[in-house]
Amino acid sequence: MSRFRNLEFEGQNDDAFQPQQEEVIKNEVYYLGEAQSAFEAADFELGLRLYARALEENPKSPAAWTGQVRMLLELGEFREAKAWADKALETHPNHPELLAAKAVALGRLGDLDEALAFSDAAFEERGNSPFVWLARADVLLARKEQRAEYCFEKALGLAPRDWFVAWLAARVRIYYEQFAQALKVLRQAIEFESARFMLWLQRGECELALGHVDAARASFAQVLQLNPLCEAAHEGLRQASSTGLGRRIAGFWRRLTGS
Amino acid sequence: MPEPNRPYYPPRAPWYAPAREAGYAALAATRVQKIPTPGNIGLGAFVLGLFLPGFAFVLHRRPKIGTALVAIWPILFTLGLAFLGESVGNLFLGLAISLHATSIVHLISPWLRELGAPQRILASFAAVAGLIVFAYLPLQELTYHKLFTPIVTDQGSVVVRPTRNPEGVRRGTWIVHQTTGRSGWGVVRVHEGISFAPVLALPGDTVVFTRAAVRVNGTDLPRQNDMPTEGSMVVPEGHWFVWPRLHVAVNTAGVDAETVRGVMLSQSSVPFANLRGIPFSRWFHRQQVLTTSP
Repeated sequence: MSRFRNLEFEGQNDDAFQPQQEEVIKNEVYYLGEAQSAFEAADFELGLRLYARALEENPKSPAAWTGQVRMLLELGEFREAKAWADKALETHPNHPELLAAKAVALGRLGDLDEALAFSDAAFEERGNSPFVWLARADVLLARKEQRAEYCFEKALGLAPRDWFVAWLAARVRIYYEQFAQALKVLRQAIEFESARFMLWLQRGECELALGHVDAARASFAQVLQLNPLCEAAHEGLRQASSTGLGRRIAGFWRRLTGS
Repeated sequence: MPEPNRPYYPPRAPWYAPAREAGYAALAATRVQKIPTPGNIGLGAFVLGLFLPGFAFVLHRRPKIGTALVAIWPILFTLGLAFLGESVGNLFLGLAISLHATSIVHLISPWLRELGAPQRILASFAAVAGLIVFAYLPLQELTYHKLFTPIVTDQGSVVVRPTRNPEGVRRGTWIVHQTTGRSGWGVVRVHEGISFAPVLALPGDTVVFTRAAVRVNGTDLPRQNDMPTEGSMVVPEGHWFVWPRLHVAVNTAGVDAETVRGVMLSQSSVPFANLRGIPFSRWFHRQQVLTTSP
């Protein structure tokens, strides 16, 4: 124990030299929690690293393996996601969320039949989580099938008033350029949790894509209130200010076609 | 940000991932799932086998032969370039192309083995013809038009920088130019050909012939064979003054010296349009251009 701990200094509060708070135990649970926070903040690179740390703590953690594959998917690295899912499935061959994640990777790589097969396998393994349903919707959208709507409903129904699942659903919609539907889901998500800057950011991006320039500006302004350093919001505002005729026509067309 | 030392950090997309994805998208659009390769070698290895002569033998488990051929081909090709325009150069280049063709036929040998003998022969010919038509001829065209080309002149073969632009020509620059066929001096007739000589004077320069020298704008230059001993001329616009180096191919008995000088003088104004190239002063071991004082 430090022999200076009882000294008093001007301008410092009384707690300054108190013994430290209970040290955080950095185990699998800790890293999984941190990774989830990174995921929710859309910091997928950080999420990937934290899930890797969780795996170092427990190489058999299915949540960490699934999380890594999902981070790679969110980063757009589908080929790497598929390869990593294969590696994960060596350890957990029947894990429904891993199977679903691989289905998404395959679907986005254009291997549509295999994607559907893996999605089926996820359900056969009694996968009934929102992510498994969102993965199904993802695969069906890749296959341009209408049944995707039912899967989205199921996913959102399994997690009522959960902004995170709604946000994930919106991200799937955005990937397939269904901006109008994505905007609808994002509005719901913001009702559930309006303090998440990422929701406003994606809402702004959808509004911009649909040509709702003023609404997009308002959304980006909300982002900057919540996170003044958000570069994407500044960029969004710049884009909203320089919206040309081409973008307005494209937005009008998207609104017209409901995409 | 990669964490290469972490055992559970996944391999990340390489820097060329966008190009890779575009390639896969193109394949998907054409509904080709995988580009077939002979002997199921990788696509990268197959492409390398196509472009690197001899490497096919390495790929098909003949590493010693393959390594030797990979080493020999650049030597043959370099020798072919060094002797470019000469028969021995053609021989070396021919050997290099043959080696490349052999390598390609060996590369596709797993496919050829599945064919009957006549088809195999035809396919081999097609491979060689394809190599020449689609690789070496375009390469030759490109280099001969843009980089260098051998030209056989009346004084021998010379490698030139192909240009028809007169801008780079100064007094003393050696040029390869077309000579114009002419007749009208009785029995003497000049045939068309390609000549190689230095430019002695530029358009507008005054050339004065004396018994001791040829004077260009007041500067004495050594006389050359069959130059007039008196008189002067102004080099016309769009021409250079180049003293011709004609190869006499017939008996000149009975032709007087004045006629010969007149013929030579008539050939000495070379139009810009006749320029075929500017020779490299040195081409590998060959000294091509003599120093000429302007």
